Amino acid sequence: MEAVRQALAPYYLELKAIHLFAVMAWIWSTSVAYVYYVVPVFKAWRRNPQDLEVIALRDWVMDRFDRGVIIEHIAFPVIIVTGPLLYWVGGWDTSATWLTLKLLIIAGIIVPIECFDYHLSHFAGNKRKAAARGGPEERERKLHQHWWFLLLSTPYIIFFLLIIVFLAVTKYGIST
Amino acid sequence: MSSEQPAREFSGTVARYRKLAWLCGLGTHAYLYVGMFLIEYVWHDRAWIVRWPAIVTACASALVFSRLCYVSFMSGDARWGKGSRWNMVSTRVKLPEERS
Repeated sequence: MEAVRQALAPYYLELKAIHLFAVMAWIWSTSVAYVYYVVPVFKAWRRNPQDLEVIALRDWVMDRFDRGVIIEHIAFPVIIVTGPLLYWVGGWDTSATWLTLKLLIIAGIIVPIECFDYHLSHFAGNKRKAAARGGPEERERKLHQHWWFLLLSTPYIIFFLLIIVFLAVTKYGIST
Repeated sequence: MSSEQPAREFSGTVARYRKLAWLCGLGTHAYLYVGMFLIEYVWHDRAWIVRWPAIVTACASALVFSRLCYVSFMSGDARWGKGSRWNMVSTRVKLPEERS
């Protein structure tokens, strides 16, 4: 293992560049679609919960959003692979306070959010698959679940992504 | 498209959003503080985590995050939050669908 680490060490900055590209795609790829398409139609639906035109638009936008998050969900595994690689190749350990806090946020908050997001977008929670499996009722149930997920995860994404990027850039250290 | 059947009611309410906001703010910060305490104080024997600046910062951050959660939940749910000034324009459109 040490030989592999030594072999990868000269490529630390290249690994970091890949990690950063993936982080940028992960953070921003869905932001416009979410803020300017998903949120407005869900607001319209909450104001007019029985309006069939609004429901049709909401369902269509959600279907497209389920597809659109593919960019984010390709980028995330790249981050999850390159992040620990950077940690290992760069010789980092838990003595770096900024990194400890960042990893706690990623492991305990971001990874669970992303796992649930994969489930809702691509697996059993996918609205198209839910409709095929259990009809309109099941689709509606999954759509409500997805909207709960988006409502709950939005403040986490805003707050903790700012902290993660701040910590990664400043490498803020606290001495004893 | 599921436009044939009436939509069932979404289960979000103001009381539930308020409760969830506190839960998210306090729960998340409790997890982070305990995690940092175990790693920094117990493992590395660093005392900064039990001094007042760290504790005050964690408490302030928990309050700010709880507030952000509540504002975000409420503004996302237009039944109570923003979005009331939008016009609802009825129009006939064709929505592109991929061939399955």
